[in-house]
Amino acid sequence: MTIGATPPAAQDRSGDFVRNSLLFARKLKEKGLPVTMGRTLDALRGLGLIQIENKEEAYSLFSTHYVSRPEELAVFDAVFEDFWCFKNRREASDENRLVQHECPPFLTLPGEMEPSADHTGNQRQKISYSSRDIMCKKDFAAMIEGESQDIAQLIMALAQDLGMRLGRRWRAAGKGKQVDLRGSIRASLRHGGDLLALRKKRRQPKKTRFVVLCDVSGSMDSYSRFLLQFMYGFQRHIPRVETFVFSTRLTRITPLLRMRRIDAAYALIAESVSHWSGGTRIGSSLSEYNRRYGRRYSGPDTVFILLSDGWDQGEIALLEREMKELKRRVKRLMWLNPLLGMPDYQPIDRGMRAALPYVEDFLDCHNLDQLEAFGRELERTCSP
Amino acid sequence: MKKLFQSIDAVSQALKQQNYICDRKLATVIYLALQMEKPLLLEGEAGVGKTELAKVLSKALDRRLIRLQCYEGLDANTAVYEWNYTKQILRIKLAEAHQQDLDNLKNIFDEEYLIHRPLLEAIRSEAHGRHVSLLIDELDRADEEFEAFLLEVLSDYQITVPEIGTLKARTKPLVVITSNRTRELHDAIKRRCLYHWIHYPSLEKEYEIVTTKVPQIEKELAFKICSLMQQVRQMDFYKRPGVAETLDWVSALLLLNRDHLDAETLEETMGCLFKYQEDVERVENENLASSWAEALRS
Repeated sequence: MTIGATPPAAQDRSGDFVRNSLLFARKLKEKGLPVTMGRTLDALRGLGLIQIENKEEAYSLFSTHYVSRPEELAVFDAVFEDFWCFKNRREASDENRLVQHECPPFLTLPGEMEPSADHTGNQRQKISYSSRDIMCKKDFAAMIEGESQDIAQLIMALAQDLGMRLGRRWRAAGKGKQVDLRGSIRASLRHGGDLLALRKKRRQPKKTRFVVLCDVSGSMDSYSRFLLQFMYGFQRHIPRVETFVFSTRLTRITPLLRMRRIDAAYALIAESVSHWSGGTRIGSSLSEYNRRYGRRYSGPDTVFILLSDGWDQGEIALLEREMKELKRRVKRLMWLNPLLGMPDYQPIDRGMRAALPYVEDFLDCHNLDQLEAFGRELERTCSP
Repeated sequence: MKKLFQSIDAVSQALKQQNYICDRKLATVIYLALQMEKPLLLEGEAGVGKTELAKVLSKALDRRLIRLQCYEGLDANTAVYEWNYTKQILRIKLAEAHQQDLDNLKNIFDEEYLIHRPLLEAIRSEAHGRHVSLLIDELDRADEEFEAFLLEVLSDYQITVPEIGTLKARTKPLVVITSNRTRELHDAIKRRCLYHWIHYPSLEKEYEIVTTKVPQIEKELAFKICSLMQQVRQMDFYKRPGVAETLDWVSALLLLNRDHLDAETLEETMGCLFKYQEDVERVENENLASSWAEALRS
């Protein structure tokens, strides 16, 4: 859609402002905000209702349409200040005046006519079957630059598939305890309104929640990039997932992974996780989880997934105590260890040995095939 | 005639008359929601006044407030509509007793056999000429599936009952949805709403709120309380206290006749601010009460 088709409400306003608004929307989209054509049209519709020269009113109009989660507010604020240049305006005397931009004569509305991009923001390419097979078996640690793009796509596809299968499995039907009056009446009409048999229904079983804790210490460096990709996909396609990363400390990244584009999520994570590639203290990280988040996220319906190589530099007694506490609180405790892919690996280092008695599933995650196997195991765990 | 605000200023003033202090940004969003006839989605930490806003708005607009409190397991039968089965069965039995023929038997799946639950109530009240506002409180507590029931209401202000057809609102009710963000709401919901994140108030705004809501409080004490609250919210507590907690605390201090904040008073009344054992313990262990009292004295 070109500028010619301006919505009626905005027509009496300066055309420049509409153009600027579109340009602004496009800038926001570039930064990963969920800008769609519908929202842009709505925002333009609202232009007629506010004083566009008033900074706060303009801010509200745009933010209410383009922001839908608090993590996006910081991104929005930065683009807003930068684009409408409130700080270093040159000519206008009024503090709150918006600055007009030069912009190209023909603009497309954001969200329209743009080539579809995948979650990493890159153009999608087809991966051939043979190379896919090889890729699935290849150790994440041995990936080279070009391959990691392909693997990112495959990981996202895997997470999406897993999300769909888990979703299907949960719907249970059958005889229940509660009387389904609506169904019973309907059925009774067949016999002239006599209630011959009561229909029953039952509530859906309580749904499984997931907590993922991923080790991002130095020893996991060659894996954490891919595992982060997996966590992004996992959280995106599966409901009720909480995600944390830890090395010497613990950080909850659930809200950061909710960004629509993965590079926006990465940028936020890089900004807020200062202990990336640090040492490893699994015990104290678990202790922090149990203390701060356990009450809210652990429960008899929680599957807890720990991703770590088990190299612990902390106190072993603490690790053991916290594993025990964790085990007591959750439905199932799974540990994914990329080192299991090594032919001669034995879980004999102190940390791993202390933790293993509390782990119900000890699985490998060093390549795609193994992640897929983990998905199948998860599906078994979650089926009623 | 439906009451509407004429300008953004009118929104702020009307809310202020109801003792609700809101900044211009929020007032703008409310004005837009009313003018564009879109639902308002409010998110923010607990205790920043999301639910309160919905209540105050419906008062200011002189509308009846219909409230749907969400909880896990909330289903369509409780939130949207239910058939009145007793009435239906009686109707059939009655028809039987009077040996009515088919032509005289009214359809028992008719609107008069419907029990209106909050969502349908909101749609139908409007049709009967009474203006309402609908508060869907803490939507994040309901199951994800429940959100699907809301979509039709939020975008078209109508509800489809398979046996009857589509019931439409004549004038659109003001809909306010709140969420504490224990989970993310579906994009489909967000797309249909105007979104606003309510921050913790600034020092000035909180001072205004406190002195408006509790006018008996001494100005200096109110200011000290508010600046301490700003400081407390900077710290990493499990559950940071909101405005609701500030107001509780102020009332408690008034009841106890305390006119200054010393360490002892702080310790005694910490229960108003912190609701989790971990946070209370932290205040005790790090001896925060006395350091706060110290800071306030200077």
